Amino acid sequence: MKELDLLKKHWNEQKDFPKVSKNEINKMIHKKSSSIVKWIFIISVIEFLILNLVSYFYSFKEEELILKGKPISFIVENIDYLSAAISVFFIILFYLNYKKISVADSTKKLIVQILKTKKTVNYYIYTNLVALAIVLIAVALSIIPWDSNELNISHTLVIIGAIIILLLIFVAIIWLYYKVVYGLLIKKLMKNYKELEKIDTDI
Amino acid sequence: MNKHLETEFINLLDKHQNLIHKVCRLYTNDEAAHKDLFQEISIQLWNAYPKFRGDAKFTTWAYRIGLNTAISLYRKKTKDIPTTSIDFSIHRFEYTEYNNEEEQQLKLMYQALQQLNDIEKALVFLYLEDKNYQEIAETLGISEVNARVKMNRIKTKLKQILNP
Repeated sequence: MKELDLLKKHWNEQKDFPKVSKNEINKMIHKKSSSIVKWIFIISVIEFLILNLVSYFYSFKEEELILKGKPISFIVENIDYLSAAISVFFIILFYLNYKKISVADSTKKLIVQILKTKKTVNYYIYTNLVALAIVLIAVALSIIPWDSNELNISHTLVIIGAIIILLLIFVAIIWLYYKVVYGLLIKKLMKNYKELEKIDTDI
Repeated sequence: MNKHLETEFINLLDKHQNLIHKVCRLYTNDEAAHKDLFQEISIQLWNAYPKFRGDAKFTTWAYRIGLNTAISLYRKKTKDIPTTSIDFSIHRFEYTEYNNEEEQQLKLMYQALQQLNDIEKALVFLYLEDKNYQEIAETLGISEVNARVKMNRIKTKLKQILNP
């Protein structure tokens, strides 16, 4: 392709770039990075903090409920420990994955590692959502009077309906949040990752 | 990080800054974005420098990080307006050594390059830098055969853009 040969000749002769002085380079390298990885790190830390606060908040509520003696109370009573263990596990996993991100790796490996790091936080969020669902179901089961004499079908259906609506609202909020965050940060990475994958699968 | 390492790094980056400028020229459409990407690449290079081992060439290491920053890490601060920005980028080139016909061809070629996606641009960049397919494949993380096939497809795509 003669145009490409011409471009190659011009490419190697290019010298019309603005000269950046050593002093300017020195100033530049001490500035803060605004890379996608940095934003992912900041957002992930905020997500960890918020979720830990939320789990602290809902652990408070359950203490006010009288669940003693009911089998389901075991899950609710121990969810604090479970939630703490899950948090520690995911934070360590996130940190280890984050440390593995190396800009000197191949492009594909770098993108995979960044996405893997972000996914660690996603799994943490999903786990919290499941934990929240367990607490809600446990609370509902404890409210419903199981004694057949007291069992009120319409009352029970209202409780179940309320829980389903509550869960759907949570899922909708998280979905919306991800649309925004992924739209801003991950879209470009996903697009380039798919392009690299396509090269190796299409050919 | 010690002062000696910093001076060493600044000298190397100063010496090879055209390489970074070339990456910026390919991935940005205006001066502000060019400067912004140049800065981000410099920061990434400096952060990674303590792990850089002398057994690899500084330029090989630098264009890999440069391309990775442009493809995976860099976020454009403002939205591109392709029609005006492409015109702007063309005016930045000097064609004094070329005759009119070649000049026109180069202009069209640079315009065509802007229509490629990030990965295709990286392949073209490495090709223009005279890297062999093994190196291109290693840099991008694809197989050597597929790098070769993809490059041929890019050539066809460029031909189609130039002669629609």
